[in-house]
Amino acid sequence: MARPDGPLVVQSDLTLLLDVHNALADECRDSINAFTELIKSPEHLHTFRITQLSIWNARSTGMDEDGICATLDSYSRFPIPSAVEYFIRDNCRRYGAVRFQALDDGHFRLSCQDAYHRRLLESQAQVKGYLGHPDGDGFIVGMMARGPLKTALVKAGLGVEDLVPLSDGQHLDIKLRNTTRSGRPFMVRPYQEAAFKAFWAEGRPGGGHGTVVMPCGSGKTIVGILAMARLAVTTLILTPNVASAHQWIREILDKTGLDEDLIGEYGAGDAKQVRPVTVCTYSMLTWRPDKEAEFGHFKALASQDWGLVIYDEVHLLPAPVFRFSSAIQSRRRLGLTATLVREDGREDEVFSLVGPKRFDIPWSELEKQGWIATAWCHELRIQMDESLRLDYATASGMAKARIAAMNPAKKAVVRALLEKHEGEHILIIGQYIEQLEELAKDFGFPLITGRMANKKREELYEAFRKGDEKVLIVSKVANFAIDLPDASVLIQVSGGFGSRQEEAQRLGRILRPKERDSNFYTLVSKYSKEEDFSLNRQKFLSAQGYQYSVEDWQ
Amino acid sequence: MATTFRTWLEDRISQSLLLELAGLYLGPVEMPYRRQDLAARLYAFFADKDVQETLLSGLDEAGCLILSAIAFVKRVNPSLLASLVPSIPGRKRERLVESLTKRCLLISDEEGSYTLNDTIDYSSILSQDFLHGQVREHGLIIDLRSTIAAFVAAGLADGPFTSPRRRKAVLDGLEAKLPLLPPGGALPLATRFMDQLRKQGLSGNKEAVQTLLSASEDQLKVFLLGGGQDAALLAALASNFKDGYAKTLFKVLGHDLDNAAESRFDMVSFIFDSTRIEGDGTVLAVEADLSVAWDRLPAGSLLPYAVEVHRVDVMTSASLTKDRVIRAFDRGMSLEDLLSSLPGAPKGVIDRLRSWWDSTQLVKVYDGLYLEASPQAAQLIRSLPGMQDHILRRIGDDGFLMKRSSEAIWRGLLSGLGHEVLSTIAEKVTEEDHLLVLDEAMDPDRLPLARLPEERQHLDDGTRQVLSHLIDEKLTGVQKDAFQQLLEAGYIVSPTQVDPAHHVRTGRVVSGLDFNAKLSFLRSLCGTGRLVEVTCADGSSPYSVLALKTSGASSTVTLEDAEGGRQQTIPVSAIFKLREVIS
Repeated sequence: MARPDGPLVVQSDLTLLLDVHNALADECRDSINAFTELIKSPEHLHTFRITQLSIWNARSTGMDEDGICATLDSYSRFPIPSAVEYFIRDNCRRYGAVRFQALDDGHFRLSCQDAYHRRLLESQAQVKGYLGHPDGDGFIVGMMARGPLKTALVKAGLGVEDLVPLSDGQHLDIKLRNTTRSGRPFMVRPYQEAAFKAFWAEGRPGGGHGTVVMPCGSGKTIVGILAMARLAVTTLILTPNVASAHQWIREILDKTGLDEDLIGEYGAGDAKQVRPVTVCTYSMLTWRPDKEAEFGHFKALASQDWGLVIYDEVHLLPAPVFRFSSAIQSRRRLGLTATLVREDGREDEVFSLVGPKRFDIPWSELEKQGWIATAWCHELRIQMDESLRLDYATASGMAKARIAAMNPAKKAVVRALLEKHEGEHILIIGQYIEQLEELAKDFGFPLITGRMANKKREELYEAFRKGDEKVLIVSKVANFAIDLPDASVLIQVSGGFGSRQEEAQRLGRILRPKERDSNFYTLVSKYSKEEDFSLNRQKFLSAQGYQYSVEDWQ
Repeated sequence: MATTFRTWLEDRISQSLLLELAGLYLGPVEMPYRRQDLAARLYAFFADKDVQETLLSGLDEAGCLILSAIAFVKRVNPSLLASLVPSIPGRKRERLVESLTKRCLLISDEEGSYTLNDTIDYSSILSQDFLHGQVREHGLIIDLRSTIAAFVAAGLADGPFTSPRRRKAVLDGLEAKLPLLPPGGALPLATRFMDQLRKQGLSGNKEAVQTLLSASEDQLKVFLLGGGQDAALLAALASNFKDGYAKTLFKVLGHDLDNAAESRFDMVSFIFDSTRIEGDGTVLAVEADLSVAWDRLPAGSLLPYAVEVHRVDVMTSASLTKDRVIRAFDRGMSLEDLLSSLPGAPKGVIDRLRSWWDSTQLVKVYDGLYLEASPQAAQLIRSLPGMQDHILRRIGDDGFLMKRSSEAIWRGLLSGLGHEVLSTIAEKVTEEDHLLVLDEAMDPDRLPLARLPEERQHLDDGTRQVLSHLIDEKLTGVQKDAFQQLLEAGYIVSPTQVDPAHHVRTGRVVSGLDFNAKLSFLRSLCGTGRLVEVTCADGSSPYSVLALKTSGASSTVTLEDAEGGRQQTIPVSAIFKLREVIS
């Protein structure tokens, strides 16, 4: 029965609106997490969505249609629209129409609920190619086809019950420390524990593969390390860049009892170590001498008996890694990200190859609990002088964006902000190298770009961490996976044309909890396209409840 | 394809009507005549803006209502028109339609339906009561037949889904046939429709459903309403809730709905008709990402006009987008109006809306002709390459008389400067007024009196005195004499013709919807003794402004009657129009 004081509004388009100010909101969120996806979590109403996939994921972890409907009913403020109930029940019943069962190491058996489904599979062009050879009411399929076949079946609207167990991989004893190697107390936070539980699903058939979405600075790496320790298996960790690979190695050494010689870096040059815990970058994995050649390192890494593969910043997964992921469908897979937003719209492929979203927590929740820093976002509008505005008015589209982004008047604003936040750790970040070089020259702070050798970059990051450098000027190389715990001010002098995840990741650089609040400044030329780009860039963060004050710089 | 005025004249119109129109508007027709020539001459005649204005100005209330109804649904047959304007009795309605057709304000097609003349801008006469100001541009044609045809074509009439494959094919088909269907809307729509068929005993009876397609619009209406409120939701869902479909249905069917159905129907119709909702809103959430959700809005809320509605459901979800907000400003909503519709909006949202408002305030265009800019913007406009070609004359430091013929081009140039240019209309001043006086000649003999529209020949004495005084004060020598003659001949109708700099101060008119402009205008008049004509629900009268008390949307003004000295205090929001009285 619906209750007038319920926190949930169930819409007939399968979205759920959760009133976060309601006394039952937290309890309700925990209950609906299992069969919904969190879409956005601003200040008042959090939006969740029920999808075919979210229903099937819930089914794979043991929930049934009555349980889902009863949960909705118990929190809903209004009666549940009949179309929603129909959708839930219909899709719950369709789960398992196609089933995968283990045969031997190299094959699995695909069985269909009935002759109709079998004929349906044979008639689907995108499925047919993977079916292997017929066997009774089903098919015998090679294990390598498991990933792509599953993707194709999901696209065709068929819920697969995958009963092929995931490979255990080789055992590796990993103990978490209570005190880090650097001497600080260490304990896993409750939400990190919850994220692992959601991923692992107590070892049931549907668990052990999936994506965890947590804000920047909230300790996603710890969730990965926790998974390694709890599963106690050999692990391959894939990262977006070398700096973050090194960071993983540092963190594992710092937080676990693993010896250094058990951790390897599969990197450029001589650093091609395959060890029980191996860290490799996406670019290394997808490197090949020319377009026609095989991915050389692919095979070497895919052939190892990994018990767990971790994809750091999984939203950045390059398309060739999709192939790698589909080849290791029998492994446990954990995707980690803060912003599962891909400008190429391939989020669904990430879900189907790495695993569905298992855990997502609103940024505002963690901020409220003090696990990430409170950040104040400011959009500062800066005038272009008359001649620049005339140049801007007569320029073409792309040139307009550049003129606005490079507005020389921004320099004075940067200077004022540096004075205002003197003594704090400050990052200045921008899109245009020329602009950054000019700022570096004027202010005398070190500049880090993609052209700088990794070693030098890391030295500068280290100097920043130690406080020897208080200000760094960085290009987009610092967008991701760089842990600079003390940074509390970020000045974005220019940005991409509207990349939502870039904005969020940049904010993430200053979200590590610290004594003081953080400030994120984005500098925008007034009356220019930059205003629109900026608004688009802010979409992800504002959907998380972050407010930008818009201020005219005088 | 819709009939245009040109094709109507050239191909569709009967010979007798063509000759009748030619005789009425062009004078006696010489025989033999060429149909194409006659049609071209009539087209040219009706394309003249003065002619159009005259035609529109002669409309009575009933005529406006009929045109509004047709504007709303785009195309109308006699029976639908009867449903839309039940207040006009049948015989009177027929006579009016005939008369409007002879005035070329309506055109008819071969099926006996009527549409509006596509060359005329009707916006000044459309009945706001009927249109609620917004639906006019976005209303869809009522097309129940297409909706049901889509259901049939998608296979929904064949009975329950028997297989996932058929189910998918049906849903895909439905989406293809109803492109406005919201994402994910096919399934709930299909489910609702199938329920409907079941209730009507038509499930699985393909032939019976097919016969629906040959039914009349009214019969389809009865079918859709047979299942009660779901039909309305269904139709609204099919139109993605964004357009006039739901409201059209409401208007057409409203009197047939019982109370329960009506209250449910409110859910889909109230976004187009917020005045229907009474009582306080229970939930209105304004989020930092500019999204807005509500279950019920307070009566008269302007919010629906400034948002893009995504979904009307148990709760309505919408977004404040730049396009929609700027458009609302363009239509007279003030920032204050908008903010008062968004109680509890986060500061970031208010900042953003304010910045959009500010961007509309730097450059204003009056009548697509006179451009007024802030000093900084004016400086840029003067220097902007290519702009000089479109400036007829500078007026004062920050004003420009622009070429109306190239309005699209110079607006494009201005947008390059990042300015949102609203189409604000202030006082009546035309390019022709200026050109006649300033450029064409000083010689009244060259200006045939017969060409003057009638109203220009009848200036009231007060205005004439003001103009005469201005000519004496501002002009000298030959120019002064010439202008006096022009005044006598009826060519001088506005102080701006004498002194362009006078433009912004004289006879200013402020729209009732522009709250900020009302406040600022009243403030400028406060205590000066100058008269302003105030139009309220009770009518129009001249007053002087004694005091203004500003307090957001509940600001009030104290006025003193120009004749009797009687004082009264009224809410600023209750003022429909302000017009400065030239004394």
